[in-house]
Amino acid sequence: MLTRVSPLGGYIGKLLLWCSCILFIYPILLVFLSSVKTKSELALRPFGFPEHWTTESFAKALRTMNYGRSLLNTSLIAFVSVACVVIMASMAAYAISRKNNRLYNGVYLLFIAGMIVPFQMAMIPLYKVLTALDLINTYQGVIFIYLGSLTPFSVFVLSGFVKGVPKELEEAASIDGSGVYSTFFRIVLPLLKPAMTTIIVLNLFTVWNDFLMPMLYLSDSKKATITVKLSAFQGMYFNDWSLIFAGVCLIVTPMLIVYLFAQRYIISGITAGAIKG
Amino acid sequence: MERKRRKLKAELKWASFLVPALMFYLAFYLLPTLSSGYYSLTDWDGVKSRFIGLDNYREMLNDRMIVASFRNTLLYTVGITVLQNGIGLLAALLLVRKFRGVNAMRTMIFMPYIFSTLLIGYVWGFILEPNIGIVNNVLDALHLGELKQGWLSEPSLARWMIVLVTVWQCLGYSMVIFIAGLQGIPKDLYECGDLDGAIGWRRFWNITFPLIAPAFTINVILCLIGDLQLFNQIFALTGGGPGYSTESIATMIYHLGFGNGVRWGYGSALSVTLFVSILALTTVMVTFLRRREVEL
Repeated sequence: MLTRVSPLGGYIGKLLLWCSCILFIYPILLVFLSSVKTKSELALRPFGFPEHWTTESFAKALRTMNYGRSLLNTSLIAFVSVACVVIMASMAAYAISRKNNRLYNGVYLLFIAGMIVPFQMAMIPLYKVLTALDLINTYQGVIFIYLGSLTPFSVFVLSGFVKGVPKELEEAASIDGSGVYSTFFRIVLPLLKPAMTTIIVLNLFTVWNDFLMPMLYLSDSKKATITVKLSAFQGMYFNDWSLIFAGVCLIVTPMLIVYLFAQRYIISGITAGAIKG
Repeated sequence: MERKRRKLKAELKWASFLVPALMFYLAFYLLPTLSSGYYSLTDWDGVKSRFIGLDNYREMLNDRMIVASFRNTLLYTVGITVLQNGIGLLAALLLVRKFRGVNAMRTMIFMPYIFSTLLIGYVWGFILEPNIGIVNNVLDALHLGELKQGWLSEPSLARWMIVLVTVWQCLGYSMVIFIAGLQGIPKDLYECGDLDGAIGWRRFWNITFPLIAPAFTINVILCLIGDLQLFNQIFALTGGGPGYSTESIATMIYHLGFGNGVRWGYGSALSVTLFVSILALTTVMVTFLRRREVEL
């Protein structure tokens, strides 16, 4: 890429690169290290390794967040909405890219338009819609909103991907007498697996990390999600940083594991949607 | 007749693929959004609403808080877009090469993107905290105590902290797209360039940069769309304060609708204005950026 450099320059360059990369994960390391410090140690020595490891803050965070229940709430909402979105968006993306006429392209544009609509614009009217349908403070209400709001991006990435899937297999299947539906579910869907994995993972992050939507429409404390529980810390336990960070760890860890396993798919999916779309 | 019916049936089957996604998208996203257009012409406060024409829009022009939020949003959008794409491109150029550890580096740079902005807000709130925060402590240790600041309480600094934290979080995303763009450049073009003496900067400007134009377009557009709606980072870092000095349009809409007052009609007018600005800006930018893309 760049012009050749001397070996020494290369080493210094690599060292600098590593240092700048540390900048990106240091805050995350900081969270994990701070969460096992005692409150007083954290105040005295905010950075560096802890002297006395303690799980005190974790125990308190588990209790205050009602972790078992709120984790279950988040998981329920996340899994149901992510699973439904990926199937619905795959179906739509398939029809759009195979039909490819004016009507279907119009529908595609309609979906894509959702990407430039700010959520804040839907925020107030959605409150009214949910109240009118008696869905406020229900899991379904929040899930339905995710189904609507995650669709644009999912359709965008998936239809870019479907265009790259060869039509021959489907044609062969239809000659063998396979109907539109069974062709889709038995032949096309398995071929879409890589793109679907990307969409599943990215949407999972979005829902898992979201706090605005559940905070507005799911305020019942029994149904509250983990992020909503954590955001309540700020007012109640102001300055109890080790407690806050223990809470942060409890939210971050599951997604960190997903990221490390699914990394390959995330990156390929982002680029597929961006470059082909 | 029979053939016509069969054809119609097939068409209906295809259309049925669109129905589930379209249904939820229209009912729980697009139509509520569009209804903002109507609400923006009323003084709806959650209970009663009266048609008041363009009064909300007129009021906005003279509302100092709203004008400030527009100015802030402009600063955020320009600052983040320029820095994120500049540094992201630099990172991509360095990390597109193959060497030991390059994958680990990419993983590390992308990692902040996967965390909730709420969490990022806590962590950076701690790092930038004036008394026990790391930044001020490091400055103390370096005997640069006079540079210590209330990073999030001084309005002009707080705005730049929001810019920096957002860039820090989203850099990996831009980088990944740039890397894919760079990988798509055929090697022989560089060889030709070598023969013509295009090396260093000239190689970058004349070969690399024009050829990653599609990646550049999508990155800039995604930044624009995202940053004009910037909400989470502000909500988590400053909550719009001190006062309303770091408020963006999006946080303003939130505060109007769910904050101290329930001015839903006024909030809707602001959100319509935001949407129109995003639409206009992205259309202009897409046209402008597409024009400089070259076909391979």
